[in-house]
Amino acid sequence: MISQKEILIKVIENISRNLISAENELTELDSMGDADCGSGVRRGFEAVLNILKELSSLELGEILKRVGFTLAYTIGGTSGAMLGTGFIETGKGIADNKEPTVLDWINAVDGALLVIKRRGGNTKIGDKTLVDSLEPAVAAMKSVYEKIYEIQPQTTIDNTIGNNSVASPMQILPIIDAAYRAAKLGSDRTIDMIAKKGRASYVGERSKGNRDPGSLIIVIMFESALNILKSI
Amino acid sequence: MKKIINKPEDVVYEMLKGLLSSNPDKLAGILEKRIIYRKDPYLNKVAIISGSGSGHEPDQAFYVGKGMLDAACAGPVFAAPTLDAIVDAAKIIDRGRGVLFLVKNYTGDRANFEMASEMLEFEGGPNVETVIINDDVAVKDSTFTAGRRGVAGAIFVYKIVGAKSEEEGVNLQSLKKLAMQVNENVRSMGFALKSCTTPAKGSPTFELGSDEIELGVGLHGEPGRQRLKYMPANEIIKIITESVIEDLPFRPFDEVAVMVNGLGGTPIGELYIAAGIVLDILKGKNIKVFRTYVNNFCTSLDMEGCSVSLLRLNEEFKRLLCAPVDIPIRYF
Repeated sequence: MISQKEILIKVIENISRNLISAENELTELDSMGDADCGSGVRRGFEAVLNILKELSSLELGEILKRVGFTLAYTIGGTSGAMLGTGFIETGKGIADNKEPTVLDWINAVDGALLVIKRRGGNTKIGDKTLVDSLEPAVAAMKSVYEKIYEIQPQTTIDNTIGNNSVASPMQILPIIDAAYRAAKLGSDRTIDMIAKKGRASYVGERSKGNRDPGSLIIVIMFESALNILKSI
Repeated sequence: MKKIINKPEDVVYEMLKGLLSSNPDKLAGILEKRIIYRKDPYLNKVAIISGSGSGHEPDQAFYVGKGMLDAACAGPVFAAPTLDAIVDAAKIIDRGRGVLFLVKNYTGDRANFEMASEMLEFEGGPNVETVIINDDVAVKDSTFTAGRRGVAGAIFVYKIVGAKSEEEGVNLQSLKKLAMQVNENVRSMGFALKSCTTPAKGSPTFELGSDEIELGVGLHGEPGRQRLKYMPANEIIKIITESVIEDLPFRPFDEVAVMVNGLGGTPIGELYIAAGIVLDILKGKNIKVFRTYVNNFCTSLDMEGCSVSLLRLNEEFKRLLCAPVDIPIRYF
């Protein structure tokens, strides 16, 4: 059976390729800011692809941290810092755990969201940032998890019971699916928002009518993860 | 807009290039990363770094030198320096005794310095400690800040901590403590008569009527406490000085250092008019003045206005303030 580590690396690879392909779209969406979102993200994830081989010698938490620092260092700026923070803090949440449960993963991403919000200066939903996708995604993960495990506490998915089982692709798939859908809706909502953070916030009303590129990045990430999980 | 610039996007690079060319024996740099650091070899010393957006010169690159900062990271105009520059700067200037980050309280600066510190830890790099500077009494939270902003009082922190770091056997923890102590004892407040104009925007950052004053303005033009009608120096300087005094509060028989700081667009003569008023007020309150510093220390491009900072002193602060420095900003 495929290990969580192998899945994670495949997911990271898929995320990287998809974000690199999205460069032009991201650049266009960033025209209210510096128009460097696409190129920055491409640079960051190309650097991640370059270290993919090294990652297999690390454990889950370290893999995430390594990816996060690579992104923050290579992309630079606030977007680099926020994306990097997402991976680093998720990695800290997983820490030395070699067999995290589904709940461990959800809590780790939730923890990362909190740090992103704080570091961004108490970013909230409605500020038109990646938080507008990520926060609904985390809320959806928690809510689907509760539905699966608490309403049916004896649920056996893939012969495992309740919430103490090590995460398997089958278990985590509905969670990531819910996250992807919620992220997508959240990102759609950013289209009509006026930016309150970042360079786009300096243009006020003119930032309306344009999807926030950061929120789209989150959508692409969850979609990439989902596609890998479906293929296993 | 007329400025002594070429292309707006090259402003920071060209400024730092000019700084390096003017100080070839004392300063080195990595211009692509907007890093300036001390060229003189120094051994066995905790390294001190600061950084913030550009547009506040001489803060900070122009304070790099013996007795003050060891390196500075310059962000784009009014935007934070990036994590990679901070990480690289720390690695360059580390001498094995650790690195102290002195960071003014703005969201972007804090985020990047915090992440740089974590990255260095992750890589097994130099030991890092960070002190956040938040001396501005004007407002509680601001456009780019949670809590109080860091303004001209930071210069006192750099001077005192930089001087101390040159002494024998001083370690990272004690310098961190000293920085925090200075921060706790300094208070500042400013006002603007006229907005600044950034090279990128080409027009004033904020609207300010020809008969208006922005009391408690931020260093990037962030709003302050309130708009006031223009008033003569005696009145406006009294308002900001008393706001600063009340905040700590500074008490009779306290001994202070005074900084009257130009925001960039105000003639030095006017700063001295302000200084005279500040000193009369302090005399009237029996607050003893050890030293008065009047100049552009921490500006906002070409903003017209000034800030007043008071630092409550002890014997050590006095000694360290008077210690020699060798920095690019000097008259002779």
